Amino acid sequence: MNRILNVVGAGVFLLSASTAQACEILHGWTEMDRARDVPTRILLDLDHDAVTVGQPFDVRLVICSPDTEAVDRVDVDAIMPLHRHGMNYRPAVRLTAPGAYTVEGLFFHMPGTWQIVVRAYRGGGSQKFTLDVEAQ
Amino acid sequence: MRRWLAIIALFAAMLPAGSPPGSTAEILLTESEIAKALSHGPWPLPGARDMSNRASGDPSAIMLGRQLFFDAALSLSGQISCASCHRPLDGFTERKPRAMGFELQDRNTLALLNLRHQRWFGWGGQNDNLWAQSIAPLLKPDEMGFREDRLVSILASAEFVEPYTAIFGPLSTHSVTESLVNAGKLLAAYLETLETGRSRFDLFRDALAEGDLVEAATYPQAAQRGFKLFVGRGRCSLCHSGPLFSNGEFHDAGRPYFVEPGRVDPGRHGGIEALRRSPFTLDGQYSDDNERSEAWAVRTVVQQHANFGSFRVPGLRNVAQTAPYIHDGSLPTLHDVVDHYSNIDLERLHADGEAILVPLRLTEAEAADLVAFLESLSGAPVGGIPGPN
Repeated sequence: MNRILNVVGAGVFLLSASTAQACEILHGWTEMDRARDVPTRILLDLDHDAVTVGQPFDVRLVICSPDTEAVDRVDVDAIMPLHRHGMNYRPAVRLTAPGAYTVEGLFFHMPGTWQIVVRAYRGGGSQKFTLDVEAQ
Repeated sequence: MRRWLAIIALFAAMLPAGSPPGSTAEILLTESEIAKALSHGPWPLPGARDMSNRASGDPSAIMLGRQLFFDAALSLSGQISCASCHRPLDGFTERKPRAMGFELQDRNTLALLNLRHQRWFGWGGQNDNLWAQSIAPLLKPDEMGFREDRLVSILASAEFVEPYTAIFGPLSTHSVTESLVNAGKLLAAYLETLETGRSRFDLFRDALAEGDLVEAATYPQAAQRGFKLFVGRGRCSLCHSGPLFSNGEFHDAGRPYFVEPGRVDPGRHGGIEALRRSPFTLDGQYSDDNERSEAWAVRTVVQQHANFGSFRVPGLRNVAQTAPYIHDGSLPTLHDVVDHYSNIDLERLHADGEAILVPLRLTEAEAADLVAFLESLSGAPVGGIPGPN
């Protein structure tokens, strides 16, 4: 379950850098989709080889925003949009550094297209970020 | 999509002995379907020790567990053993729709094969480990029940006492609950050894993996057509995935929920409730795994409305030997199962809009093909059919 957490490498740069800076997308990281009017970006460190149906896996994510307090907290979930169902397990989200989180225990129980959904909260509002992932 | 063709008709001499003259062997699968076939193997899977059970893999524990499995003395009446319902000659299940302990049970007896690879146990997944599931029938007064004095006298018998002490320590230092859990761990050590052998499908799958198209083409065409339906229009492989032909999770199969008028079987919903009350989980004090390495599932499983009326997706290896089918044993044959999915009543689903099952409207020939594929998943039990000794 900690395979991805071991993939530090390039991520260290991101984690140690101030999230107020514009994040560079380094090897292995992917920018999540967001609405056009959302200034905040979220980068995800996803090892696609670790995404196996029926096995839990972890990811790291980094909030990139000119505003250092752009996000109070994040929730992470995943759904299969075509099947209209979600996961059977709730992943644990941990803040590891300002603007950086680990997400442990994502679990895709069917093959096909899943969508990781991140909701970033600030005050009473939230912003939605998505990333499609193919599970085999 | 390009088809992989291995039309052997021109090479009749390459056909196995016994093939009718002029017969045609052909691989009917597309590349994408071949990739899906490969995902259902290889078989058998490597077996790892269960870290939550110190008796796992221990030869003396396996022997003691086998004795307990066939021993009716553990039950309250002294007349029901595990093997009374999980009959080795019937694929470790029985031919009845619903199990009969002291009283008629609500569910069909699950087959006890390939259990070591499962995450959840029972139709509702009320246990997250095999030793807890093994003592579940003993803990139910209407199923087997058990007498503390009998349990202790069996474990203290000359046959058990030495190996038991070597594995768990002196029996005299154990509470009744600890002794019961240890009996469950002995049973689990035995049950881990019950596995299905390689099936006709596995030979086909491995031949494809090795690029041996001649061998692969000997897999019956009806079974190939059935497999195409299984992974294609039938969408069966969405849930019946991987080498076990099960994703190990729970789904609503569109069968009635009522056990009797006014009483429903809550399925996975009830399973999670029971799991949360259980002291015997991988996160509990009776697990031998100090790291609690597999406890993530019980800690993070989500109780959802859609769990109500969902039941475990059974593995399909040796499915032809485990009739009747579905959680309540209400479908007598594989043909009935296929017919159910072919004409499924979506109104019965309790799945909160989940859009997986649709009526397949299979023709008779297609239904027969799907059954031919399912029948090709049988393999003789590893080590033969075991008896009490």
